[in-house]
Amino acid sequence: MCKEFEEKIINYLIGEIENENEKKNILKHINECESCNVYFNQMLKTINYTKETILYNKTKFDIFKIEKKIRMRKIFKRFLLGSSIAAAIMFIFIIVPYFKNISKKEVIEINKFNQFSDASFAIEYNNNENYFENKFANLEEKYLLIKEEFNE
Amino acid sequence: MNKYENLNDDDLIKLYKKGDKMAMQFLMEKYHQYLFKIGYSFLNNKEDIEDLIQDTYIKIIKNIKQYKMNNYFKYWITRMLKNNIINFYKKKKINVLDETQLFALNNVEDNSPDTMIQLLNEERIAIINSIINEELKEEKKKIIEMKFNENLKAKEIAEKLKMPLNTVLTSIHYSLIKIKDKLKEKGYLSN
Repeated sequence: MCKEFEEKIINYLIGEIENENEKKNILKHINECESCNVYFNQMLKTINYTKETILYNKTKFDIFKIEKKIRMRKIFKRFLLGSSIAAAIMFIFIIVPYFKNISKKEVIEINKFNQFSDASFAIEYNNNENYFENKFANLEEKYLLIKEEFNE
Repeated sequence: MNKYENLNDDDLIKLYKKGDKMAMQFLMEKYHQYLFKIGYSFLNNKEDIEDLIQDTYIKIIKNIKQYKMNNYFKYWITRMLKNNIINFYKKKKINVLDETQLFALNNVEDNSPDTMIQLLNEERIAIINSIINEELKEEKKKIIEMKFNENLKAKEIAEKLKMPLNTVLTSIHYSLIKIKDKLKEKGYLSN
């Protein structure tokens, strides 16, 4: 085989030649030179067999690694489940009431407000159905809501 | 002599269930080549083969309680690998198994020569392993593994190992030529 092509053929096969012209020259030579063609094919097989062997070694069974991976997957699943439950609880107890209050504020339009000595209220509001009605609001949540409306 | 050598598959599984991890190690080492051979025949990408084999091993250990002690362990693990291959093709949606491949996949148990499965040569693997592990110096071994295991360019290897690019390339050439000569000597490379 041609000495000057020995290294070039290996470099070509292991992807170390980037220059397109150089690649073409190597392939042209391989097509023309029989001994280099044989060398090319032998080296190609050698590289494939070496890759295969290294992969074979890498995928070998290791009971300790496999059991560790199973444990880690279990921990991750539990973490994911825990996080989902926490997110759902947060949504129900924090986010939903927050948006609920905002929507109340947007809907209720207060016309009159009176506070009595026993801390209860009398309000007159538009209930969006085009008529007015009087309502006593002595619940704490409504008190807060009305108070906020007035503060604005 | 290994204490597990005279035990059959089911006996080894019983030992593993009692807490003897090395019994399972021994059993799966026996089938590694068989499973690798099937995986290697159906997938081309190195990373995919690695994931497939490792995932199959995880499934085997996770489901070992469901295995009925009927001396069909080889068929049980083969079925698991086959399902994994089919799921892999479905998941990737790259290239659905064609009829020939499905036929080959359904006939992997019989090891008949007309299936498309190329037999991996145990001796060839042993030859290459002996060169890598015994005949190459630690540095050369590291370089060849970085090249073909981590798929790094020679330039990247040189940067990582803080050595000249030419030294890395020369080392790869040396190792490959050594492996080639040995394989040729043993008749694995035709002229």
